[in-house]
Amino acid sequence: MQTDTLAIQFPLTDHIQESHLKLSSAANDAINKFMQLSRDLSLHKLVVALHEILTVFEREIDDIANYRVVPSISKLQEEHERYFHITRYEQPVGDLMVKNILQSYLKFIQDCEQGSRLTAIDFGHIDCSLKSLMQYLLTRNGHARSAS
Amino acid sequence: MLDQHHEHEPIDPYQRWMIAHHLFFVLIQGLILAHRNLLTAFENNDTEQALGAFNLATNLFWGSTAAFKGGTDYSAEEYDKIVRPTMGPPNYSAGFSDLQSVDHSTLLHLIAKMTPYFKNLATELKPAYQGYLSALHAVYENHAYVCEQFVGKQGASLLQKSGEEKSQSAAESIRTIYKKRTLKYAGQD
Repeated sequence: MQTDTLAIQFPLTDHIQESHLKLSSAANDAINKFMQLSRDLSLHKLVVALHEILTVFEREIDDIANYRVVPSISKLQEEHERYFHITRYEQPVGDLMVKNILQSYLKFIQDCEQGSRLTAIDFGHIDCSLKSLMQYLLTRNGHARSAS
Repeated sequence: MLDQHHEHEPIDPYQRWMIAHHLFFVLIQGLILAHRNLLTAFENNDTEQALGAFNLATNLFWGSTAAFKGGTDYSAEEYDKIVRPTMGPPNYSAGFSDLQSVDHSTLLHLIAKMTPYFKNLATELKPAYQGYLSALHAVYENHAYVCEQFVGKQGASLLQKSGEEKSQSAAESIRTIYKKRTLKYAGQD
């Protein structure tokens, strides 16, 4: 069982709000490239494209591991997060969310390549939901910048 | 079925379970953002912002239905023998459940906080609200359907087996307890 490939870094729940959404320029670039991806591409081409976007993004952002890890506040939360290999970081929320969207989408499509029975409609829902979220992050970040 | 061009390797149900859950958690964090934005829009009486937040939440709920389906794309036998045992004692408490997720709990509290607003919506928000409710309904129905595939119509969840939740089958609990509760939070009595 390759558990090391299943680790995921999440922002602290209380920080998931507008005031913490600042994105790095690398995150902005990654979102823009992501938004240009067409779901009509073959799964393999999507995997290659997503992998490239994620690789460049991860190279250019701060090393997220340098941020403070926040321990779970209850036994139940600790168990849940240990099971799913979740580590909570205090910041930076926007970049972490972008990284997780790209990473989760990439893993999900790689999994679809293994013969998933998901329909094109299911796949469309995933694609649309993640693109909506990315667009939201981009827009809110733009608003935050113009206001500062 | 999606179009695949490669030879299929054997599915690892545990990996699929984890990958789809991670996607699901990412979507829940997006839903927290969308609902915090919706609450701000309600407080400021900003219809345009509320429409945007409703639409984002609706898209994310639909994405969640597909994530559920993707994470459970293997046989009931594989779930029973490979996935389910990873969630129990001795490593985890009996009754292990996604209800332990702090993000899930935060999202539910946010929805509950907005009940009065949902019940007094401006006319121009009602079509978006109906779409939001349909997607929310679909999330729970999809979850119940997946449970039925794995444990049958009468099968119990880990939480029910632990004695922490005394009710019907897992699927029935999702429909009659959890879906009903969340729809009530969302203004549907």
